[in-house]
Amino acid sequence: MKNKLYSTGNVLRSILLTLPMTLISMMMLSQGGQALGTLEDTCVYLAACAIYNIAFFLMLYKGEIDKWRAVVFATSAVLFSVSFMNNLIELRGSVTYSDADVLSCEIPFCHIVTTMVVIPAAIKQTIIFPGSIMTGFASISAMFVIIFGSSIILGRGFCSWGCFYGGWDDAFSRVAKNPIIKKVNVAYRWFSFAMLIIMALWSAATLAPEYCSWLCPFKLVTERDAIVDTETLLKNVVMVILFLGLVVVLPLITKKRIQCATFCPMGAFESLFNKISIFHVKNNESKCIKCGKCQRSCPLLAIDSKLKPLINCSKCGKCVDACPTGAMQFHIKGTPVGTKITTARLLFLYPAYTLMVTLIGGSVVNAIKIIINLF
Amino acid sequence: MKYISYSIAATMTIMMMLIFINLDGWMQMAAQLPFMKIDPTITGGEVVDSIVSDNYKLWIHEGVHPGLFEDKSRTITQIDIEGDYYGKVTVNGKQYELNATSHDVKVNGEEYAASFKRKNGWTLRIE
Amino acid sequence: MTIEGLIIGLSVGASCVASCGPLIMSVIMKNSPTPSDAYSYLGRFMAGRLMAYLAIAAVTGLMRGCQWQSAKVMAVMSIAVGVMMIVNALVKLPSYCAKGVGVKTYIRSHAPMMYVPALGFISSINICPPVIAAATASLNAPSTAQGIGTFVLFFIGSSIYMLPLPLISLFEDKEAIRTIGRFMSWIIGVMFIVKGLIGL
Repeated sequence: MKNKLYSTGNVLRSILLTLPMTLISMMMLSQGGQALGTLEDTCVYLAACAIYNIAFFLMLYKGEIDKWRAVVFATSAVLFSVSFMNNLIELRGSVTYSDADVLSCEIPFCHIVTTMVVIPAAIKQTIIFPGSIMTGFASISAMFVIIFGSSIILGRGFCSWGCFYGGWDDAFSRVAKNPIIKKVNVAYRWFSFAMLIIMALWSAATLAPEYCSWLCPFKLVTERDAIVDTETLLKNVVMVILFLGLVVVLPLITKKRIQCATFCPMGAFESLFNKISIFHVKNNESKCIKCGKCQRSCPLLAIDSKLKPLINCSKCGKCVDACPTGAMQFHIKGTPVGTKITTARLLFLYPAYTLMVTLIGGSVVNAIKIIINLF
Repeated sequence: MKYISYSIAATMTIMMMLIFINLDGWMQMAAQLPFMKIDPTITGGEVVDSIVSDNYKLWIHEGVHPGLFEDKSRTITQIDIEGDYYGKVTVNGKQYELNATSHDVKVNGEEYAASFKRKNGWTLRIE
Repeated sequence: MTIEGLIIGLSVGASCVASCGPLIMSVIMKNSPTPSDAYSYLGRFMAGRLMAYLAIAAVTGLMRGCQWQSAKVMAVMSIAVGVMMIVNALVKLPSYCAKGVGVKTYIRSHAPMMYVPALGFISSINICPPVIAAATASLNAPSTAQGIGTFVLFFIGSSIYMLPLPLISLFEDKEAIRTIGRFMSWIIGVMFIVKGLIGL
């Protein structure tokens, strides 16, 4: 069903608007030609390009951003895990890391670690993470550039368009047709900010990334401690409980992205960048009929009682799609509200989708090859 | 004002692409930042002495002071061992008896020592 | 008086913020909407902290060579801090003197004066890692009085870093700050109770 407010209206116009993204995605996914080695590689590359561009086309033609974003986002997250874990098995023989890997500084830098290294980096001028500064997969300098660069551009949009963990949460929050728990206490939206302050200070006190050590549920789908003693056993148990609870069960029964909305300290950190980003979601009060559909649909509890998006909005587009009057809209700071809505929407979509295609797309291509080779 | 805003927004796609197209260049610049080095409590610090033989190799690192502000009352010295080593080693003016094989490592006379198995040997951290 | 304590305090003060900061920040955020209230809470917390440091200095001086900080004592202190943080999460500390008579009213009206310094006292005896450094320095002081002086200077040096913390009360969205403070109290409370139970 088309969203009449935002649908482009015809196929040709949608194709023309998709063309720039086609060129961008083909350029970025080719990785400078490296992705086009053999015939099989080229076919996989073209398939990935097709998937991403069909989704983008449907966003424009149907006028529904969130639905098609979520399909690609969730698929990308799962395929990223396949690719990542396969890389680790090729490199180390296992998805677990031991003391030897930590001492060799061979741990890929995850973006969530940023929240824990900031204070020691400022005071002690060192990075308290056993990774590589320049070499290897997900080096510290590369992730630093990508995280800060994309956060300045999109703000917390990173959480809905770039984070390869968020797709898991997003996926499980869409499985059920109706929520079992219909009302989630909106105060929990601030829990991730409490987590941010505590994790940042605790990690600074111990000079170790404690959230990664003890609390990150996504280690289950990437890499985790090898179980060698009681402590590592406990860490793995906590990881499984948190993944099942925050990423699977609670999103299933509430239809909210519980891990992202309430627990992830990086989400709270990214929210601060919403103050800098030129893009945001705004409620045009002249069109708002106060039906509350936006607030009920928001997966991150990011809309307040006055139906205004808060600092923790991740610009996923769900409220924009849900709004019956078009009051909720993508907006560019410094421009009049309610004018050139489609322009603002497109100007946001292009960089956001570029991030998704480039950051996770390479892993998606790799994962498709791995799956094909399995058969 | 609105034209400036639309212009800035329009350049964001190109900026996003440039992050990844010129990633190597940005990485080189980021690596020059003053905090872009791994904390010595993780790496063990610079190697100040080494003992090399046919059967073993020993690297003794400089002592590092743990803590957010480098608490100088504590010093942790890392020793990396490859191969089988039986003998004495002097660290921070104290002598330690080391017995290291591929299966086990023992440090005698230490107040506190942690041992970590590596691919080809052991890493000891003596406090 | 040796200034070694001051130098230790200045050099490790950031660790104090990392350890004690979450405690006082969550109390401030949960209870104190105005900056003057926030600094009042910090002052009371520091008073409790100073009492703890003086007590440590006196005990260390009197019991030279004795290992008085046993693991079980520290574990119990840790649980006490955890319980106090959960109390902070559940109860609003009144900032005015309650009217009326009776024990309950007395406790309510004096609750801020008792609770916050008590938190500062217990947490400083228990979790402050630089206290060990200052204790070592005071042990080396020629006399008990100089040992106490070392501790006071350490306290001053390390407290400087705590001064900006109450500025968080300047944030506009008071409801959000209070909610974050409440959640922080819960998280820290649970962490300390678990840490204490493991230590027992």
